[in-house]
Amino acid sequence: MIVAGCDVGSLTAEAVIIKDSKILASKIMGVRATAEKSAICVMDLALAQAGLDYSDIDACYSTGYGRQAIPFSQKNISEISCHGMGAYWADNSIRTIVDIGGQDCKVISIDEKGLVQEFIMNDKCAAGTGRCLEVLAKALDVELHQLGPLSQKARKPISLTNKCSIFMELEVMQHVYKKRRLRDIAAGINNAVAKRVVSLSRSVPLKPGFAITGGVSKNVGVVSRMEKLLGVQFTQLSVDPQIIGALGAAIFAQKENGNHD
Amino acid sequence: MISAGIDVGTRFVKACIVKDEALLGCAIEDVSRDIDRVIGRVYQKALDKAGISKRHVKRLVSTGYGAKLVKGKSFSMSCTHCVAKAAFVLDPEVRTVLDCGGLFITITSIDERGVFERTLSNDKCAAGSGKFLEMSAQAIEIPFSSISQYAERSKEPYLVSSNCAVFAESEVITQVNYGRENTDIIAGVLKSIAGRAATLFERIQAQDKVALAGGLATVTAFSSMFEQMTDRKTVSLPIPPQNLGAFGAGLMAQQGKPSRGGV
Repeated sequence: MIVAGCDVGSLTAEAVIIKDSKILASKIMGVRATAEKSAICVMDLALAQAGLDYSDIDACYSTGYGRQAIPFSQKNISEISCHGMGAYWADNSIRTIVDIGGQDCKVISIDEKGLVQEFIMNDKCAAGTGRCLEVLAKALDVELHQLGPLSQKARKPISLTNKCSIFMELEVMQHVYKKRRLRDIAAGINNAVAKRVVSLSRSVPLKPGFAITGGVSKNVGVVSRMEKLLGVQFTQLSVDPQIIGALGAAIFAQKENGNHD
Repeated sequence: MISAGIDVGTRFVKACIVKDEALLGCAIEDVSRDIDRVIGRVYQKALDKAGISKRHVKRLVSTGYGAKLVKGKSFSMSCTHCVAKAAFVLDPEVRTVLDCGGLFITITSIDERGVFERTLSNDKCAAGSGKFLEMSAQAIEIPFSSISQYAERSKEPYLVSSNCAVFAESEVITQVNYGRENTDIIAGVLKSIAGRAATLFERIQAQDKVALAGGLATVTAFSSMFEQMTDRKTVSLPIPPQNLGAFGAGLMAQQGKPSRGGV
């Protein structure tokens, strides 16, 4: 049986196609004007990659910020459940998932079946999200994907004391004015974001078996800082951590529509 | 005596050349990465406008977020003091100054002798700041100088749900994509910002007269919304509201370094 999952977030959209518990295709792209357009666009790409057509898909579930607006999906599931299930499917020893997306961050605790037990989420303030990193990278005039590698070379990371992304941007500018090294500022930025997420995670039970998902999991600086602050090691997932949400949606579609797992 | 004041703010650098209590010339420019050069250029522009050469300036005082970056200054003063001083000199009946700048909203109350009483500011988060308005206007492609014109055409202001400036930016883009009028969006953003200022304002139990300072005060739709919300009239001062900090610094320079705080 062939199932699909589609995750339309605030900054990127992802689609995953699964056949008999194997990933056939997965695509990530930046969002279009509306959630509907993004979903169709990314699903077209994934279908093309798999060499399939919409009619070949037995079931498709959607998730993410724009999940209600997706025409080809039969059901929408919260991104919390999908991230839990997706990470669990990728590695069934996972019990705690830290997801840092473009517009929110969440820490999810799951049980031995991959179902959500508890979670905490910040979607009110941009601090501790991908959007914050984006704003600060821009202030520093470096590409978002360079922040991680750059910060690894830091010797004397700066410290950012503000919590608000815009105030942090101002602080970053101050360090730029003082001609501090880019790598030290980059490290300061990553550390500040990691600190915000860690302080959020204190309110859920942190069971061993950690995974990090979402776009920010690709930033090695944030990830290594979080490992240090939490005193844990994140398990390396076998699939791209950015598609976990869409993957989770596809797994739910498979579980609820098929007879084989 | 001739003095100068330079206000290195979060978004703009301002300079004023002052003689006794009169403003001779002022200049303003965006901050940029090369801040030293910007400061030098703004200072020179203000000198040129005043027709004064640098060596005639007896004292230079800096203020604002980046006050320490100004070279050759006699001393620095906090921006709240400078803005309050400027407002009081321009209109001695002013008791409350609302300074709505790039990132900070500060409310300062002064007594009848112009002595600084207390101040209140948004210190945690940039919600409701000038940057909030700037980012939203940019996202829906309205030039900052035309914000008021657009907002006045709105019939049904859109209620912005995000408090975070960064999220408000994405929220307004989404609304544009759903086909909402940009006039309604910008009016909604202004309303949310004026609401923030009004809340701070109520907390200080402000006395009349009230003067507005800072970049947001140049947006007429903002000041009228603020007046409506707080049911107060604000006085209009004879110099551009954005320059009050630098002007105040120039006035402080006239007096020389104070032994202790106070206007």
